[in-house]
Amino acid sequence: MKRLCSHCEKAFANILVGREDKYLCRCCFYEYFEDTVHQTIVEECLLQPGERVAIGASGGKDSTVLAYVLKILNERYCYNWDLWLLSVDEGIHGYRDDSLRTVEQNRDDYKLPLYIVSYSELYDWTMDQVVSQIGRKSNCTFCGVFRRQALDRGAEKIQANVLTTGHNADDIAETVLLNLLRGDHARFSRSVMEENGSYRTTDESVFNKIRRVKPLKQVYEKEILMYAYFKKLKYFATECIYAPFAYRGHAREYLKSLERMRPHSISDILYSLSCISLNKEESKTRVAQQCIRCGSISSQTICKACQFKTSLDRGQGVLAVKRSGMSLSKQTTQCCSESAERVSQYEADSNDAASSS
Amino acid sequence: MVHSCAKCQQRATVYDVGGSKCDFCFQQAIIHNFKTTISRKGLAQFGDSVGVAASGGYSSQALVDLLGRSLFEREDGKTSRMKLKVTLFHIDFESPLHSSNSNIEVIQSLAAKYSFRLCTARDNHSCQQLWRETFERIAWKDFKDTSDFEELSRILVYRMIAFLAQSQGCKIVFDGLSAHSVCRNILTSISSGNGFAIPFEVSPADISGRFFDVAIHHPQYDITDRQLMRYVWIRKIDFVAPNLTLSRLTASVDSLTMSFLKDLEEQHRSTIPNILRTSSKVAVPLQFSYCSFCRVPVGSNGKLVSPLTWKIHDKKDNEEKVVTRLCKACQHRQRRMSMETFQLFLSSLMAFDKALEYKEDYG
Repeated sequence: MKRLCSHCEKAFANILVGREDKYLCRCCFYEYFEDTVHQTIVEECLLQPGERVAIGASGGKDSTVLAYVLKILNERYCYNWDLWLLSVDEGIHGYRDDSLRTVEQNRDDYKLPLYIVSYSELYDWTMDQVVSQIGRKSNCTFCGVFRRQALDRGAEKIQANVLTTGHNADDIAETVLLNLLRGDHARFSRSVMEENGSYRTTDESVFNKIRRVKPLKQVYEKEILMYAYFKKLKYFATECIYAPFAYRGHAREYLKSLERMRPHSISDILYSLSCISLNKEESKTRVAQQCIRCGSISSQTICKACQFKTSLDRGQGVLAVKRSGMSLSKQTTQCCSESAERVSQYEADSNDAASSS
Repeated sequence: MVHSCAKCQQRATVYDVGGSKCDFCFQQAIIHNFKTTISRKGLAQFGDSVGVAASGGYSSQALVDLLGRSLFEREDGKTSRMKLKVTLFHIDFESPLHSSNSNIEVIQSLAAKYSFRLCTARDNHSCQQLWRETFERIAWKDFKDTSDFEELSRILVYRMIAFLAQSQGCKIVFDGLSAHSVCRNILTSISSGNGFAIPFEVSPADISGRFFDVAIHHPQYDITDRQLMRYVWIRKIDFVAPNLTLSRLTASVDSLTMSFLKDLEEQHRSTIPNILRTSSKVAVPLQFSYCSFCRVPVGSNGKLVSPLTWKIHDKKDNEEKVVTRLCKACQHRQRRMSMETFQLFLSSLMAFDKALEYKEDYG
């Protein structure tokens, strides 16, 4: 039975927005979707006019829709954002090479400049090589750490002020459940603090001026999919070939079953995050420092990406993600801090020698 | 291959956390866990009058048996140092979820074994009145799935247990929530927008004060369902199985969450301890109020939920303006049910709470 749109009551409805129980026609749905994203940007002050905005583009539906919507909002409200597409080539044969073609097509369709950063350039390792060393378990750990740093490096290269990613409400809800189920209370605390807006590392403004924001955080994955479908946007729809073994799959499965019964569950999980307060020890912010090897922001002397790279170079990639890897990282830290001391001592000696001569 | 008990080297029959155990050592471990929780968390003191919420299921039957053995038995044959006056409370009204006749028989036999008193809701006028005004008058077509029905039953049952406990002079009630049930409640709280209630759900002691003078504790909060089922089987204790016709896999949020937890635990054994440990890091809020419908603590980082004003008809059909606070879950529930049914429940529950608070009779 055809229903009329709940908003305009003129056209027939094409989509049910489950969380608000509204039936909308296409035009009203576009308006609803774009207004939701715009409201998120304005209320949380995610983007300022005139900024250079790097859009993390994988070629998937989330980043394609993000790029499209930001372009529309930029034109509609005259924000003068300088939008750039920033893509990461992990070196996954049969997956990433195809999705990069989609990103290049987005570049041509939306007329946005594109910058590609690759793992092989930054780390001398591709994900295929990483998986061949460590196997199919825990490979998402390596990829996630490397990709985060790669995006930061890419954003620095193009001198962006802010980095936007296509994380949607489903992703954030999955992350919350994932951290709760795995007992990762450090990450659980961080996601609570981020949601409450209180997660700030000290001296961030000194070290790193590139903010990370998620303009699609209030939007459901289903809505993104329908928006891309109705607008006939071109995106790459295949899942990463290494993804099926990820723990996140369990949280996703539960969330999807829950969403079928109660469509508002996802926004309720985000609301629950804002209600949680942490014990004082958990809410202590971590002190940011620069990695002594690569100079990127880290809470440790040597960043995780450098630790992983060292372990891969030594052929001990598997250990890096297990408990025994903790001693490996401590050894690495100790070695590197000793070598850093020797370097600084050498420099001091050479300066003294230069000044005396 | 024959496994030996890690403690006494006898033939092991149970593979549990901490290694293989024989029947005797397994039971001793469960009793020790139970007694330690009561003493360390301060759930009950020497000489207290304690109520037990007994539904007849394996969890509450295990609770009654553990309590009985803790009070009367010791390995070395000496008298137990735990001294509590125990009364069992059972809600014996008929509902589609369970038939009360078979429940009462299994509870009676266990109560007689340990000489515990048994008190049922049918013998209490106030509980009868509440049941008549709510469950017997609602339109079943209002419920789209069994989730709301299960949740409403639980809301009523807990209130009636608190009322019965108060009428019998018990300020403490033990219920049979296992580790799995606690984790299920945590996940359903988060997914229904009641993240505020997490520290209250995870604590074995009732720190919310939601039922005024009566505190409902969970002494089995870190004993898993598997362990309880095993315990009940070894001890040959009768219990009433859940009504499977109503508990299809996806019939309710509770059953969906429970089946998800059990499936995940098969692959990742530490799931339940992980959830309990992470949830215990959440701080207990200093300032909060209570949902007028389900009595769950509500608030949002120090800000109280906006009050709503309702018009409620009292017994003389006079209209009265009442200020209520509803948690997120109850706000959704209100939209799913008809206004009439929701107002009926709300007015009855608020009047019952008033009677509970001022220790009066209801109806």
